[in-house]
Amino acid sequence: MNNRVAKTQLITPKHIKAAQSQDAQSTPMTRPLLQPLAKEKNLITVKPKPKPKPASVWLGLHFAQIALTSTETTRNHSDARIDLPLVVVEIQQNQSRVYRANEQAEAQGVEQGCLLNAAYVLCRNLEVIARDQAAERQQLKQYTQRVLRFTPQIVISGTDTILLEVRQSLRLFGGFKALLAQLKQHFSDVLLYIACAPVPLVAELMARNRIQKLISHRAHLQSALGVIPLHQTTISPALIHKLERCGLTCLRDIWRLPRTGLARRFGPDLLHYLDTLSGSMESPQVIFNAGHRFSAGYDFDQETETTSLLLHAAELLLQKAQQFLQIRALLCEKLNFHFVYTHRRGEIRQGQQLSVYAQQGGNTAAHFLPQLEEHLQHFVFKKAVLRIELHIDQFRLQQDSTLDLFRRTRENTQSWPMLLDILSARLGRQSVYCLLIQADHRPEKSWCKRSTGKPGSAEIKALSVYLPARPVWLLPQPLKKARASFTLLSGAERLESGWWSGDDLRREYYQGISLSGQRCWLFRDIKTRHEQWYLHGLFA
Amino acid sequence: MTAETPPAYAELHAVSNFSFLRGASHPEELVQRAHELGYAAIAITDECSLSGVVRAHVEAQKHTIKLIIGSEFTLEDGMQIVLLASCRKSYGRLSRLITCARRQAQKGQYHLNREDIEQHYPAGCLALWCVQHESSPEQGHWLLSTFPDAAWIAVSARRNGQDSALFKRTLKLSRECHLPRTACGSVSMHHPSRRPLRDVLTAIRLNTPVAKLGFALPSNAEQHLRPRTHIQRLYSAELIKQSLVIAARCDFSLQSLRYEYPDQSLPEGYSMGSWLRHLSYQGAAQRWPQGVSQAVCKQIEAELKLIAELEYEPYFLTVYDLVRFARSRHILCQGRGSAANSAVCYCLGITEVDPARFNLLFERFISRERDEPPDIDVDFEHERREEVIQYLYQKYGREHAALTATVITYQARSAVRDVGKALGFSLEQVEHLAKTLRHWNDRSLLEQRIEAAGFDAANSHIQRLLTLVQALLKFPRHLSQHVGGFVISRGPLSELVPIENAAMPERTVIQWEKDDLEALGLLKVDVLALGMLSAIRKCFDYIKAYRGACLSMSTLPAEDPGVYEMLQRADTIGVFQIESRAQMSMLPRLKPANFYDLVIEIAIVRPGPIQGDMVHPYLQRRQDPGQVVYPSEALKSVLERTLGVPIFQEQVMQIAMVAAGFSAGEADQLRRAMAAWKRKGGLEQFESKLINGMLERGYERAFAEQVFKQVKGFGSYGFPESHSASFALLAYVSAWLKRYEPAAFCCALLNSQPMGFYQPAQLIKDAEQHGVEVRPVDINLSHWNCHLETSESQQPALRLGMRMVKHLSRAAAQGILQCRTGRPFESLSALAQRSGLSQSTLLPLAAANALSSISGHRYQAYWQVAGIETQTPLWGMAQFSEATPLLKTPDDWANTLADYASIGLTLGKHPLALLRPRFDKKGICTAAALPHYQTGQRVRVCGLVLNRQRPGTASGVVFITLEDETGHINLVIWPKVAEAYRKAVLQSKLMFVVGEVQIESNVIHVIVRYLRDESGQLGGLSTRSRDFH
Repeated sequence: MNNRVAKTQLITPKHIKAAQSQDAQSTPMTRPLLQPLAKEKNLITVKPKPKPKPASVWLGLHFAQIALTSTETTRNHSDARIDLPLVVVEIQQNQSRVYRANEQAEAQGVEQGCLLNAAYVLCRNLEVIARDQAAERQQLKQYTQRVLRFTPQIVISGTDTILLEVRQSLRLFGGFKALLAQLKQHFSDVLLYIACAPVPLVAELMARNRIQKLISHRAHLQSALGVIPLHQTTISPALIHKLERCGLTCLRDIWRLPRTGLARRFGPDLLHYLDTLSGSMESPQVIFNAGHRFSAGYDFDQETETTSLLLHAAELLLQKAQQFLQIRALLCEKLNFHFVYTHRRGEIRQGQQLSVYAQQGGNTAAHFLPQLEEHLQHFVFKKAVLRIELHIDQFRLQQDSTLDLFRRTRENTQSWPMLLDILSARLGRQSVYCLLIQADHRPEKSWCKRSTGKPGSAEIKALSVYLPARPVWLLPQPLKKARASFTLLSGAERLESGWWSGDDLRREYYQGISLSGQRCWLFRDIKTRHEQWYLHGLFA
Repeated sequence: MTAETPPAYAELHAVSNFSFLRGASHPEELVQRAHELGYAAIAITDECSLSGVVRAHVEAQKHTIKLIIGSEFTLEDGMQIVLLASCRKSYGRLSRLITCARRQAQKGQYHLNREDIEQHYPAGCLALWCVQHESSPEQGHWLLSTFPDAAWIAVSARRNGQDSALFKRTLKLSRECHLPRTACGSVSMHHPSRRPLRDVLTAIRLNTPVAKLGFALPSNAEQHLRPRTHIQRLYSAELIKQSLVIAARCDFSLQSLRYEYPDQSLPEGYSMGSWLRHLSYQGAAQRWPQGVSQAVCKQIEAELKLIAELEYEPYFLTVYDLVRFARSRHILCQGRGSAANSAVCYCLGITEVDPARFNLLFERFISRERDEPPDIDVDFEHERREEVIQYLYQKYGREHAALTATVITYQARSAVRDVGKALGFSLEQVEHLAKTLRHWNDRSLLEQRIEAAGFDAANSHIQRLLTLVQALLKFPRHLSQHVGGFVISRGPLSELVPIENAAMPERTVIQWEKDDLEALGLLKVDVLALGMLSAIRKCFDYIKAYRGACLSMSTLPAEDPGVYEMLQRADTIGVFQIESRAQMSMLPRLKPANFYDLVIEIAIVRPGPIQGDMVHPYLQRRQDPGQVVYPSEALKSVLERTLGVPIFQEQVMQIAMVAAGFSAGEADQLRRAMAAWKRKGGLEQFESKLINGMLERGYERAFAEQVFKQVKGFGSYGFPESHSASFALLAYVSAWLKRYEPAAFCCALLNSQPMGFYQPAQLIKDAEQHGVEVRPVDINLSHWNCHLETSESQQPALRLGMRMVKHLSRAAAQGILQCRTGRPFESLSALAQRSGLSQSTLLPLAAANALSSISGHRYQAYWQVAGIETQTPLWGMAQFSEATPLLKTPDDWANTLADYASIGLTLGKHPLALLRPRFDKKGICTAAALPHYQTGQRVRVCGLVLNRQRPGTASGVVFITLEDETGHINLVIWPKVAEAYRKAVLQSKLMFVVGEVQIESNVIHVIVRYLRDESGQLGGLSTRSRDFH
């Protein structure tokens, strides 16, 4: 408790006074962010004695349209027009409700939270997309990458808000105003609400509520936030309902009630929330982990095109990468080699890129080297190489880091993906695939190709079903045949399927012997009147 | 070369769409197709069900094809068998076996094993074994030992590449188990064109899109009824011959089901007939204490003669018994239907409508020519109907009594939803489509709607969806229970029809629905629930308690002018049947002045008479009786009571009899066809008969065609006079109570909610306008129900009960009432301590302001209740001393909001009264001021939206009723205006309107020119409107 009091005393009116004395124009307690921020330095350049811990400066960045923009990639661009009203919906209590609506939809009266059916009533040509939180998080992560240049102290809140602690960055970016301007320029393509406060929760609350203001001092938080209606806070709706039953509608109404009475009626969580808002209690924040990235380079003394030299340099880089990966228990699926021709200052950097893949992921130099060698044999260099760089930015965690009891087995299983990778390197990634059976009565659809990297468990299940005799070799296209060119042995198996995809197939299959003595799989197309015969496969 | 005649064949294994989500054809289609293909017989063998057999039977009778009744079962061990009924006895056993399998599983499922079959041995049934790849000889041995000389192996050619293996397997099993083999189709559709629908049904059943079903779908459409030439190619002659041998051994027809009425215990020396006669005359003596008139005696005798001739005495005695039981328990009830409104039923007390005052057709329900039982509906108080149902079960036992089923079929929305999902549309798209396609009539219209909804109707996916949805419409989806139709039998009911579990615990339903029973001539008694009967009975009780006056439906003063004066003013909120807006706008025009006018009023505001153009001619003739002309003297007797305009179903039947020479039975057939023609068609055969009959009797063609048009217009919406008369009696009784006892009437309506057309808020508002003082819910004064309190005025005051408080359970309220007995609560802590109720139970009372007498305003009450700690056994109630909180005092607006949120109404200021100062500045007038305007004058109004309606008969016109603090405002919105302000029309809670006043026969409408949503001014007021019901 004492500690908390001590913390709240860090910023005192004395500090403010000191700050104000430095500046003839006193800093307002709160002000719109869009107004010129001439004195923002004062917020953090206060130097009281004894030296207290400087107050944090938190920016709340709320991306209001992220649910809409993150789904753009999933929209079918061929028939979606950007000027059409669009809503993102989510299911709440078994009902589809509008989570976000674009401008066009809002113009026609669609509001956030309204039932989808009501939205349809309002907007006839409404386009509807289900909310995709994973896509929103992905998009937010991309935004986070963009703000990494401003500060490493980043907190992600929900799927649409980022909090930045920028106190230590202010000097670097030339003050608050300059930082804000750069930030806005960075996100000029996005609808963004920014608020600033010494407490992260408050910055977030204001940004989410589209209150673009600057609160400079903890002591001013209560009075600044007092007018915020409860339903705009993150207090649970059930608790808000209870509070409203007592006539309490905004934060100020609560702040003037006795704490013990409040605690007894509405629980300690409410008090905790209020204390966090007022800055008298810290709210621990989880700082965003910017992720791993590996980069290394090797400079040649002179320009070279010799494969052995290049391989030698690449091996050195791969060894570094191997160390990097193994320490972190990571696997990588893709390596990017850059062969740089010029990299002197003042010159435009030129070069070529080569990617090397590992289907199952790899973390040893030995895994990648043979592949690289295969690639380099076909690789045509436009110029001689002066520098070679290795970049890795896609990783996944190594699952089975412990060694098997039967080491030999493990070696065997490890050699198989390596062989596939080498084959892919030699023949091209598209040329190496596996065949799988699909659960479909139509012969053409009863099998499929799968990339070697992806398991096809769903399709493999089909094998357990009892199937009638099928030929070993299926022709890519059925061949027209005259009835006289074969003798029927058995049949008929009738196949009628596929109407749902528009190509309804209706055939009668027979086994027969061709004039040359081959056992054939033949069918008669009964969909058309002519009842043409076709050869579709060979048994042996 | 002469074409060889294909061999005769009988299909022994076919499932219809009553094997839900499996069969892709109606039973009728299967039978008809089998007939077309020249089959010797067809068996309908739905999976553990006989639900579809009656329809198949009716169809088979039309085509004279032999129908075999059977059922398919998959036993617990996976063995699949089909059992066919060979005689009446084996049919009974089969039905009992199905009952057993269904009763020991959840609704919609069944469970059967070998022991069950051995225990409920279906003697006489013939068994077919549907052999699978994994079938074992042991199964065959068991089958043969269970069904000696009556078991076969069914050989079914599927043409899926596995036939030859399966045929070999059946041959091996046949030799090993000494079982003969027979050909059989394992049919699930009547024609191969149903393949897509069959696949969609599979997708719905497995809850997987069709494209992902893979091998769960059959590989072809071979499970259909094949032409006999195909059969000849697929099976050997011996296999085909066996099918005929089996068919020949099945000698049972549903026609032979002989229904036996349940016994009634009779006093010694009486037969059924003499006991019914005795009871009828005993009742007549009570009805007419001054002596029974000659005409009545004649009618009773004629009815008794017809009843005796058709042996319906037990039926009338059964209904009498039910009504007698209800009376003995003080449960109000009333019969409906012309059989119910017969002299005999009046004497037996089944109905209160004096038949001497009406020209009711007894033939309508009892027809000599068609051996069909009468159909009497009896309405009981809705809250106490369960007692009557339990009495039925108790008296006849579950072996003899069960509820009729209702087959729930696919409607446009459900079909679109399920087909859409099966075709892989997204949930959002499916929902949107389902909403768009609410009315599924015309395909071209549909395509327009789809276009308007933003879909491409020409798209092949959409076309596929439309075709499949159309095919799926009217397909049975599952069985549900009928609202109250009971079947009672003398013998075990389960040997007549299978019985299965309903969704409600302790309820069982039979596998046939009303039409099936009718087709087979089985007895059914309708035990229905009616909220108004509960309200009337309660009202009588309250009046007796408050005034000591003993009222009943039969003793209420008849033809009271005060009541009719009130009805002519359309002052009918809460009155049975005539409280809707359409009825209220008709009342001042029709000006009912006697009971029969009320009968007409109820029947005329119906889609039937409206679509048949009967309303305006009738009103005109009422105003100017000189316009009344009759096409003939004979028809004058039929139409005189309705001024030459046919309004009731009975009149249409009588016209057919009098003017076109129909017999009573034929007229009854016409009525049935009228009721069903929209669903099934079949009116055409009557058209020529009716028109030619009328032409022969000298009527003009134009008149004859007009009559037929009216017949069609009636469709299924025509209202029989007998029903109307029963309803009119309840309307009169409720109107009398509203006129003379408004407090008791309002109290009874509130205590019988939910019922009727209006919310409690409107009922209370109306009572207040009739001088009733309404008092708020009070912790120390209220009971659970609303009750009457003494007041200084002539009418008692109405105290709202705790039942009005949302989220307060009845048990909690009872707990409070028990602790309060004789000693009111002096404070909130006393309430908490004495009742021991938790905070969560008391909070709703605080929210409803019911604690104001002991704890100040509602914010304070809520704060105090929220501070109550749970009592502990050791320490009791914890006491805290707290500083007085700085809580605001709720203003009028906050109180109104809270009142609406917690009890759905306010006794304080109406929300519109609070907004009135603002409205006055804008020149917005009140509902009360509207009569001062003249037709055509422009007016601005604003009010809470009470209800929205868009009747199918009004070609797109939207009717909205608004409420302000002075009354109701009726809006008429033409389609163009509705379209222009679509959003506001659909969404407003508070609506601002500019329009023109239209006053006609004291009915005021505002024709809307402009409207706007002003809901924002309500600030979250929780109101509810009744929309587009």
